[in-house]
Parts: sequence; structure tokens; C-alpha cells
Amino acid sequence: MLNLLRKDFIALKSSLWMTLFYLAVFSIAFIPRSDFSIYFVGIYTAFASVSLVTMIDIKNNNHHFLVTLPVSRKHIVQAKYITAILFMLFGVLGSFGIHWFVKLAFPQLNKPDYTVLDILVPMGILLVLTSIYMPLFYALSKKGAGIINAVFLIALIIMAQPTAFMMTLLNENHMMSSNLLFMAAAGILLLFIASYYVAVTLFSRKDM
Amino acid sequence: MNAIEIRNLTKAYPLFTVDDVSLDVRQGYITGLIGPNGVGKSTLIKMMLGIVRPDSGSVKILGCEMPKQEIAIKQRIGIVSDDCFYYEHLTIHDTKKLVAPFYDKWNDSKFKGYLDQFELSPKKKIGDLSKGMKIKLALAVALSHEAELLIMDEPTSGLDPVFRREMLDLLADMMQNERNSIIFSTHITTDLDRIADYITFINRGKIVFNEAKEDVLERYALIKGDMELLDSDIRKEFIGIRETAVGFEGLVDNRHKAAQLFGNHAVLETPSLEDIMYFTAKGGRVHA
Amino acid sequence: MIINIILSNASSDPIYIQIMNQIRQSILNGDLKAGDSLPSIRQLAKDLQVSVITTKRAYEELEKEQLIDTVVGKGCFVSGANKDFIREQRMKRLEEKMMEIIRESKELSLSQQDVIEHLTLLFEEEQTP
Repeated sequence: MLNLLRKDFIALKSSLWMTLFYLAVFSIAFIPRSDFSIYFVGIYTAFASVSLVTMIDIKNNNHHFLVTLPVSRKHIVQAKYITAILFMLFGVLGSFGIHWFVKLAFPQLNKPDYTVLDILVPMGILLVLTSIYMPLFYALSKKGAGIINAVFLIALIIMAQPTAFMMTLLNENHMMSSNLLFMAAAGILLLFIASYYVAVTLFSRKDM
Repeated sequence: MNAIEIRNLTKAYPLFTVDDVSLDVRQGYITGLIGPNGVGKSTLIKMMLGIVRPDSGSVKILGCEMPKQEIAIKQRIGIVSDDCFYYEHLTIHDTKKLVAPFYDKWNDSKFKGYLDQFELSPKKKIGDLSKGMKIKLALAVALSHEAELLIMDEPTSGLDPVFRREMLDLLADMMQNERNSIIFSTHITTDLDRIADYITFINRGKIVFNEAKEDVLERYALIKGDMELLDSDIRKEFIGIRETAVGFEGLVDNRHKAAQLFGNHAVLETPSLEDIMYFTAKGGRVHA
Repeated sequence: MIINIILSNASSDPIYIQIMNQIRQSILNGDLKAGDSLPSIRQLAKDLQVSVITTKRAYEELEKEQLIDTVVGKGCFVSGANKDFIREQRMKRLEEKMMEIIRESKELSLSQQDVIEHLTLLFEEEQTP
């Protein structure tokens, strides 16, 4: 398992700086303009990084190679879910760190006080996105996976405004009760676990 | 003892089917899997390795069940394919760093030795390697983790004749240990056949024969003669026959019987594997 | 231990027969002496770039002729049987072939004298290249 994680970072080596680049670009794009920049920066950075680390495995049909190694297909999927979680943490915590710094350095931007919720909400959204994305990635062919990747990135950009609007509504109506939050968290975790099993099943049956 | 045991393996595709194939690959020997293009050689090898999932049937490698004991099996086998699926943007050195930790018995100095021998620089990017160089790299990886069974899918198709000969020595080195086995597939009969002990001939998704090369070459005969010798009964004796204005050339699988039948009236020759492949694949009568 | 084996693609003999003949020749003319070790089956296969089954078969045939011995775990050796024995073996084989000639000659109703004359003729032809 560790070897598979190692593999992701060796394979990414030359493009690992891309994730920092995403973080910088999205920060510059969203922080001055959006009240929900802390979400957007985190989600966009994380998802772009996750797609970077998935696409790298299919660029040259590398799954053909991975399945010849002494690992099971289950492990290949498992490792990718773990890498995805690592990148989510990187994106969300990176965004949190930057906003914390921006609030100190640029008080004129009028950023609100950030709470743990500002880490948990983008994490939740990312888990949902990844839960849908991963099984599709492992079920589809190289071409299909490339299309899905593009669809997700476009969808993320289109969905940004409506989501911001929703968030405002939710915040204003104080609908974020702790009960609801707990339910949502449990639901998302279940979805994520179910997604993992679906991805393993689909990938295990797939012909390379 | 068999290195690979395949039982009733079936996989249906829209255009062709690997149909109920059973096959033993003997331990301690080199087996050549031959047949024309697109008759299921690659599919069969991919099913052995679990890269393609069979519709039904079972595969046992080195006494272990696929895919249940897949991880243990893959520790003990080396895979060389004419398609290379390493990460193109990585160097050979990075690729080694990535692959080596997966194997319990990785031998780094052996790997370095092979790179030297094959004139592969560790600094080279995979994407910049020629097809032949990629196959050399795959071979170096396969030989560096003490594989007991080498499975090669069309290994010679990208290789120049010089390295093909070198490869014979490398494979023969591996075969000095009588517990080791090699199976390779090829659609062109090459130098590799020289050292093959067993030949498995697959055509249209079915095994035509799987036996010692010497027995095959002794059993089959290529017969050349005048057209007058042929009548409909005699034509039936042939697996494939090529008739031209100047005579016929045909393949039979019972040399003894043919010798009696034709006596001194026709020329009996030992066919090459290519002859056997050609006449079997074409079947029936070929007019040229 | 040096044995020279030269395989010819042009020869109509199968490869294992070529190997067999040349090792036998080396033993009969004394290049290989009793007790000399022979390369292992797998080493010989590697050196000649032929299949293991081919060299194995050549060794098995030579073993049948009692020209070599295989000692499990130690390899193959030129048999201790002496030259007389080898000569005897060859004489025996020659006699068998002669018997065959006699039988065939009878079928073709050739007299003993005819056969001897024919043989003498062939002998002379063989000597003048």
C-alpha cells in the first residue's frame, strides 16, 4: 500500500508544484472577489490536484502496468482514495491557512472569522465529488475518464455561483443546526465508503 | 509439474472467442505460443495474468490459483510485453525507484548490470526510448526480481536481430535453473523458436497442438509434387495445400502415412514452424 | 574438457542426431576419454542455442548406447566402458545393417557374389573422391 502511495508521488514528482500553482491561482482569483473564497480555493485546488493524480495513471494506459505489479486491484483503488484524501486535506487546509494569513495581512478585505466549519464544509463537498468521480474513473476507458475529468471541472466552475447563493441562504436562515450537520457528515462518510466499494468492484472486473 | 495450468478458459468478444482452452505449460522448459495475428494469443496471456478477466475457466500459476493468490504469483513472475505502459515522463532511474519496492526479491546490482549490458542510461526518459529499448527495460525489470516464470507477449517484435540473439543467451541463462520456465508468444517465427522446447499453436481461439517442438517437426511433413498425384481422396489427407501451375505444396500431420502414400513420387520435407502456421491458418486449398 | 560440436542448418539430420553423432565421434576417436565430464544438458543447450529437450534427447540416446553415464546431481560423464566395448557396439550395429542388406538383397534376388561385387565397387568409389 505504501508502495502505491510512493508511486503516486514519484510519478507526480515533476508536477507536484502544480498543486501549489493551483492554490496560488485560485487564491488570487477568488479571495478579493468572493465571500466564500475559503470554500472555493480549497475545493478547486483539491479537486484539480486529485484529477492530476488520477489522470497521471491513464495518460499512457499505466493501469496496464500497475496490474502486472504484485498488488491487487483493490489496493490500487484503495491507494488512490488515500491519495485523494491527502490532496483534499492539502487543498482545504492550504486554503484555510491562506485565509488566516490574508485576514491578518489585509484587514481591508473584511474577511470574516473562520471556524472549524470552514474546514468541514469544503471537505464534505469534496468527499461527495470524489465519491462520484472515482467509480466513474475506474469504470471508464482512458477516453471516458478524460471526458469525465473535463465534465467535472466544467461543472465545478458552473456550479460555483449557485452554490455561493445557497450558502448565503443557509447562513442567513440559520439552518446549520448541529443535528443536520451531523446527519450530513454521516451521510457523506457512508457515501464515500460505498463509493470505494463500488470503485473496487468495477475496477476488479474491468478488462485492460 | 506445470508452471501454468489453464482449464476451460473462455472469453467471448464480438469478433472472436477464446474458446474453452485448456493448456499446460511445463516447468523447466521454454514454451513458444505461436499463431497468426488476432487469434487469441495476447488475450490468452492477458487472461493468465489477470489483466483480462475470463468469462469462465481457471488459471493456476506456479501451483497458485489466479486471481485468489494474484499477489504471491506476481512476486514470482516477470512480464515482458511489446506494449510498454510505464510512466512516459519518468526516467529509467525513477521507474526503477517506483517498481523496485514492490518486489521482495529485488536485486539492484543485477538490474544495474542489465542496464549496462543493454546500454540503457538510467537518465533516459521512458518516452524517449525506442520500442526495442522499452522491451529491454521490461526484460531487465523481469530478470532483476528473481522471477521463476517469465511471460512474454510478442517480445521480439521491436527488437533488432542482434539483440534477439543476445536475448537467447539471457533466456538460456535463466533456464540453467531447472525450476525456471519461460513462455512467450509470437506471430513471426524467429530465432526464439530455436530454443523453445514446446510449441503451443493457437488458431482461431483454439489450441491446435501443444507438444515438444521436435515431435511436431517429426510428425508434420511438407510434401511437394506434381499435380497428377492429387485426387479428391488424396487432397483430404492435407491440412493445407497450395496448388499452382507448376505443382503442389501441402502440409500433412502424419509423416509416416504420407511417406507410404507418396513413396518416391513426391518430395517429403521437414516443415518449418512457419509452414505449419501458414497451411493450418489458411486451411483447405490455396490457389496461387 | 573441450568438445567441438558444429550444427548445420543445411544437414537433413535432426539437431539431436547431429549432436549425438559428434559426441559419439569424439568418444570413439579418443578426444573424450572415459571419466571426462560433459557439459550439463542445460549448459550445452545454451552454448548451442538449441532447446533443452534437444540436448536432453541426444544425451539420452548416447546413454542408451552406453557411451555416457548420468550421475544424478553430478552431471554427465563419458562412460567407463572401454574402447573394445565401443568397437563391439559399433560392430554389432554394423552387423545389423549388414543383415538388413542381406535380407533386401534376397528380396531382390541378388546372389552373394553380386552383393560383394557391388560393395567392392562402392568401396572404390568412396575412396576416389
